[in-house]
Amino acid sequence: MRIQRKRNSAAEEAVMMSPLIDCVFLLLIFFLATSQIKRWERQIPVTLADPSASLSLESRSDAYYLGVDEAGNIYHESGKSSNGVTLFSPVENLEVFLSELIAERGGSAPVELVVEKETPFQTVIDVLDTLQHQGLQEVRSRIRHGKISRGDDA
Amino acid sequence: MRIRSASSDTAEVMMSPLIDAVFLLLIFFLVATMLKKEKRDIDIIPPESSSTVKLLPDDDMLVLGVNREGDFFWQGVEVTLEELHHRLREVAIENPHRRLRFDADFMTPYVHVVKVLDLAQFNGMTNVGIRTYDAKYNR
Repeated sequence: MRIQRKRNSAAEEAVMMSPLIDCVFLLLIFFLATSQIKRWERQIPVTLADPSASLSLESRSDAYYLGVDEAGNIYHESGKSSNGVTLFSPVENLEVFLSELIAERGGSAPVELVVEKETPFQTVIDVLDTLQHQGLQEVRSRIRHGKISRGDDA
Repeated sequence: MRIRSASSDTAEVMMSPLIDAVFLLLIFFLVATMLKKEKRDIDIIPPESSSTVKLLPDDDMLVLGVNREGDFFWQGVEVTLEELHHRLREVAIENPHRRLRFDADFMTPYVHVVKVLDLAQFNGMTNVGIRTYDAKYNR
């Protein structure tokens, strides 16, 4: 009888282990599954200008102006009208134009995008991407209420 | 040697960690189902861009949004621009370095995008990112 008891109790102990291990595995798998819910997301980091910069009354004259209209056409500055409004002329090929601009002014010189207010966001992002890929480091943007003033070749 | 029958006691002791584990599971599932996150994504298609960085979402992150009609959203709830300004100011007073994610539709007129970015700038938020499209958005 003594032998039987021993065997029985030993067998019971061994059987009790496996559901415990099952539970632990279940926990492990559950944690694995839930940890995948957190996904990476893609963002464009934005550096906003120091708020005190907008208190300056003088416009910064060192920036080169590029215009973007509602249809996604790109313009470069081509002088000023008699009352001080910047005039723009169309750019045929933005990449070529930018590489010439960088060769002339360097990549760290600021560029300011003048965007018509109804321009779709995607159009602006595309232009900013191109500017970034060409190596321009400082790009600002602002809204133009109304149409971009076309220069003499309009 | 009859004392050996105490081994049947130890076999019963094995039950309690098992029950513990099952209770733990039960409680975990209860808590996990109750902690359903508030939905902060709005029904938009973000713009595509090739100059993005991959970031891990942050539960404490502030989510501002604007759809293509120019309606503004705070954490997924539609608000007016004044309300947005008011709430953003309160957040900025507390912690201007809090992460801010800005969701805008790819067809949103740029003027609405600038309105929100201007507000963030005016309130001195320093950690701003524009969300862009990836295949898993809203899924």
